[in-house]
Amino acid sequence: MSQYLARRLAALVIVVGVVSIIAFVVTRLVPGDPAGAMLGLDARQEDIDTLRKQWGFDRPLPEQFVRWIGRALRGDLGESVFIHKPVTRVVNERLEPTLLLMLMAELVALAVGIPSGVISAVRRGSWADQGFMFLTLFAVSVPEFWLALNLILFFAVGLHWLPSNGYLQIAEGGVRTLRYLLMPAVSLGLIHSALIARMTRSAMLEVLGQDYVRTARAKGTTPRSVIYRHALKNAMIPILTVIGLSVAALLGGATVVETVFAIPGVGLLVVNSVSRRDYPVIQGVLLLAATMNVVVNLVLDVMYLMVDPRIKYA
Amino acid sequence: MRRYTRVVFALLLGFLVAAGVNAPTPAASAPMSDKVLRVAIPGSPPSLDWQANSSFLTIVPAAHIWEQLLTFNDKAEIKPVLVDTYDVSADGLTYNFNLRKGVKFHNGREMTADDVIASIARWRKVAPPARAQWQVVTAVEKTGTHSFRLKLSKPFGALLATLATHSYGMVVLPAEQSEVGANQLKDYIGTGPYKFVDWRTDQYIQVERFEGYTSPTGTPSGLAGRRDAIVKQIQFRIIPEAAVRSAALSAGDVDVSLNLVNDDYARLLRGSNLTLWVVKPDQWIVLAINHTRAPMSNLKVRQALQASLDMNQIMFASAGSQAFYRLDPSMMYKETVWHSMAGKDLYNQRNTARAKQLLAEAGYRGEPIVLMASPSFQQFYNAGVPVKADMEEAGFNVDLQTPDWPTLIQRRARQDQWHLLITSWGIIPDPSVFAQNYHSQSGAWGWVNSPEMDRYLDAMNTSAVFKERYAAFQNVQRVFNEQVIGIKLGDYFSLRGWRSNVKGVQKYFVPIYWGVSIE
Repeated sequence: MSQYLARRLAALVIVVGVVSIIAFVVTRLVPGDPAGAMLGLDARQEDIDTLRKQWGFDRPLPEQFVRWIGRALRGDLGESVFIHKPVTRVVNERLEPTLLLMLMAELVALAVGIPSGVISAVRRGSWADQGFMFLTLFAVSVPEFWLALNLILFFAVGLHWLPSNGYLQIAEGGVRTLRYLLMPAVSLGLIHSALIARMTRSAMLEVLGQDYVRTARAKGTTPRSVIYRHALKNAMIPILTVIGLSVAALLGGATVVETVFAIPGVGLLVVNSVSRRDYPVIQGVLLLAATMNVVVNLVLDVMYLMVDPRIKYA
Repeated sequence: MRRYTRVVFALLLGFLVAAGVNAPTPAASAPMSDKVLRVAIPGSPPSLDWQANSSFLTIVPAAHIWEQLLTFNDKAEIKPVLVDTYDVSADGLTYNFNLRKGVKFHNGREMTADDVIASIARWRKVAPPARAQWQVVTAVEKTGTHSFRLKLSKPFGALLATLATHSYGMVVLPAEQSEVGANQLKDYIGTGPYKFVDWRTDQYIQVERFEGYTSPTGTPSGLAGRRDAIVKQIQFRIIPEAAVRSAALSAGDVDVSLNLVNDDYARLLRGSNLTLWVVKPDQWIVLAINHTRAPMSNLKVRQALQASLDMNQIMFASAGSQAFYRLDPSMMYKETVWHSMAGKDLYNQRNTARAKQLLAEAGYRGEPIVLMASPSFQQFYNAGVPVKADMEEAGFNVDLQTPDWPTLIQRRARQDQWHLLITSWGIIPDPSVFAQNYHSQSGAWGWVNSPEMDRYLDAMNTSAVFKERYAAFQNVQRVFNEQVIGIKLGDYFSLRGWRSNVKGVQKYFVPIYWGVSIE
């Protein structure tokens, strides 16, 4: 096991290395540059060139890459050309809202997805099943921003229950911070709840037909215990996989939702950094996202072990 | 010799300074409040360095922090801000300026002629129009603690206008900052009614009333006149989604919102607690032409393009509703004294047959024409499709490209990358700025090369007499149309709104919030 973990961690280093190269190349392949973005509508070429030179973006690409990767290996991702702060600090400052948003969205997705999937499976073919499956189809099809705008119109403009946009740091807002994240979390989480519900339903259906479930029922175990302790636990592997995938998707979705709700998280940072062509920040966020994905997958693999003792990693 | 003197104010100020009394904010009539005014803006400014920027997003917060020597009132007349009096010699070669005394920077130090001279030196380095237009200024000399002089090699009629204009504003910074490069300012110290407090990237920019402020006098009009900082703080909140800005305004999460969605106009009008204002005009949209690249280098082809366009259709698509555009051939808005109908017959011809004939005469063989319309600005992008349709009907082969704005800027700099692009001219208080793009010496993208245009631009910028300048401007506009230097599509308006309890908002295209109170 420990050998396996060591191998996976070594793989993590390789993946991050490859991603850093891709991140660098992709950001530089996109036309436009930070100087043009900063100087705006009527920028003159000579001023654009001066800024490019000042930032070192006029150097040959391989030279820029070697310089960047050399510093990155020492944990220095460079400085944002727009925010004038080290990238690591900029990203750190933006992590709180994004992590909270992802966590809340995942909770919404689980709270809605698993029960509705279980109920649909247990009452297969019933009105409840068809109703849930219709709703999940609807939720998967709805774009996040459309849902977000409608939530704002209903809860902020109509009922005045929640703030229409913005964010308060936890240190300043405490519990009030959650009010700012509720609508974003719902608009982001509902879509993923639909995927989880569908996966839960099909996994449960498969398990509910197994011999051991029939045996459990024959023993006189309560239906509740059959469903949650015997069936759901065994249906968890594919559900866990979907949850793991959804973490990656949530990070992508956060860029849209943070932009709509003006939440200053990593998502909004990367969207704005792309339009500012803030190369160091884009590269930093891509690295972070890739690392998060790899780590989440590793955690999932370890969780498989806990859920199903038959799984062994050699 | 022309002389503008504000004797009463100077005497009063002199008396107060002599008596050792801090000059009070002149507006005793405006009670100050502890309130925070929340203003929704559509994005982060590229930087707060007003000297080096023409972005609207820079000007909005910066106009509260820094001040210019001169500015425009809402009739586009030049009025003093940091200057007290000024005069121009009869030959137009010497300008003398006396500064207001007792004006303090936000760091508490008094502003002197040294700060102004250092600021002018920096501005001439970091502001592209200043670099080009101020070549005629041979000396900037200190004549006293609070006075200085400009010497010119030849008369430059638009000199005062260049000091008063809002884009790349000639604002006064402390002399210590004169070496700071363009967009590299980190300490935001001005003399304005509000001082900088905080900028959280992608969240907000916050300014707070400057208690040591001394205001210019006169009835507020445009950026001129008295500046009463009534609300204690102004928070410029960055809300990128236009629909969310509308919602935030309706919900009362912000007090004022800039750049609302035009499509929301009808819905917002139904809300009784809002005041809406159509910013009229906001910009004029222009189809810019690359004069170096065939076939657009051929006048007949450009004329064919000009003949083919249906401006009403294009502007309707651009603005989304008739309330937000108007057709007008003038390069200077109807609201200004410069408005002109020169060349009007060439505007909005909708003459496909003529376009076809001109194309045939030009020997056009269907070479693809690259038209760039960036979705970063909805009004440009939306105009792109009908422009393409009109052109294709006339026989052009159009390749419509829709890069984001930074990409467009990069391609725009290269002569071989494009033929046409859609952009706009904002508010132009003085037509001297057209030389920046349309004078052959400017070297600006588009690479216009018309000796006739150069001659009239030079004539317009040299003279100081309005009648002569206006005559020259009319010729500039005539040549602009006849030689198809560019093609004006129409005037575009935007939408601004505020809660009804916000009082005293000036209907001026630069959003300024001194003099504004919340009930």
